Amino acid sequence: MRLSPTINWTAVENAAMVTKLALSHRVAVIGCEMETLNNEQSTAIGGATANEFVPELIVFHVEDVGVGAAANGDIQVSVGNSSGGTQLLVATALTNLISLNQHYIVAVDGLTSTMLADGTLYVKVTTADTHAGVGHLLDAYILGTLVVSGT
Amino acid sequence: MRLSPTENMNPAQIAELDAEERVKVSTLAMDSVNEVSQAIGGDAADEFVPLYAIVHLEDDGAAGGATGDMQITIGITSGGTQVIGATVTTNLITLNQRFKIAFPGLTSTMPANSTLYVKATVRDTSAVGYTCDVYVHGTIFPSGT
Repeated sequence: MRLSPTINWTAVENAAMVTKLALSHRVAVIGCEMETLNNEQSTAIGGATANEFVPELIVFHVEDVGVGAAANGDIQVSVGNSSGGTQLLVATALTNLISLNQHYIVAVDGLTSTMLADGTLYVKVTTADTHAGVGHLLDAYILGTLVVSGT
Repeated sequence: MRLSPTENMNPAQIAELDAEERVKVSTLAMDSVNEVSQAIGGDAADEFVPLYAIVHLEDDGAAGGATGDMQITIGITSGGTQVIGATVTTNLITLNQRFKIAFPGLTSTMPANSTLYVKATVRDTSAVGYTCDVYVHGTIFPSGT
């Protein structure tokens, strides 16, 4: 079963509950070069200005191990909604994230910054994996929920 | 203002909206060392990433009373611990109580066509006839190459 590109929103649309049910959202920021310090990738959240995006957790995924040397799992990354920003996550070690298709889950707990749903999420390599050969790529999937901005 | 069902759709990211899957591994006997399993039901080309599990006491049997000392493992092989090692579901005693377990940090690779196995590694000695369901919540995305 692959993810469907045509989510049936009406299936979960209950006139009284639509704002409760249709909230899960995932943003893929793909292709961070694990061996390159300060490499940064970004993706638009894709929501509306009138909404807030509230990040809940981040799944990092080794998407490609390239053709060079093996990683040693000492990469650090930050995640924000501005270039180089740390609004979601300050520089964080993804200890032992080395092998193809391994995942590393980081919860986003406590107080979080305001974040418009039409914003952009940035993932930056703040410490390069010193052993990773060219072609080691990291994807970050940011799971969150959308709420209506206050007025 | 209510959220519109379509206002968050970015054509390039529409597949990213289905953020969470749930696999139900049902009817684990709490009073015996035993194992139940459930296929995730995904595609071999995708990865399943478990995020957390909810253990739900769904039947309190007809005798005795649980003491809440059951331990479980969750894996993708029989008896495996790829998702969690032996974990005590402390004080899970009463019908419809739930025990939530998060899976932070590094997790194993897990093709989305795998099977999840939940094993009672330590039985609740007083929970005669008690069963629990384990809901494993996760997310699915394409495997790397």
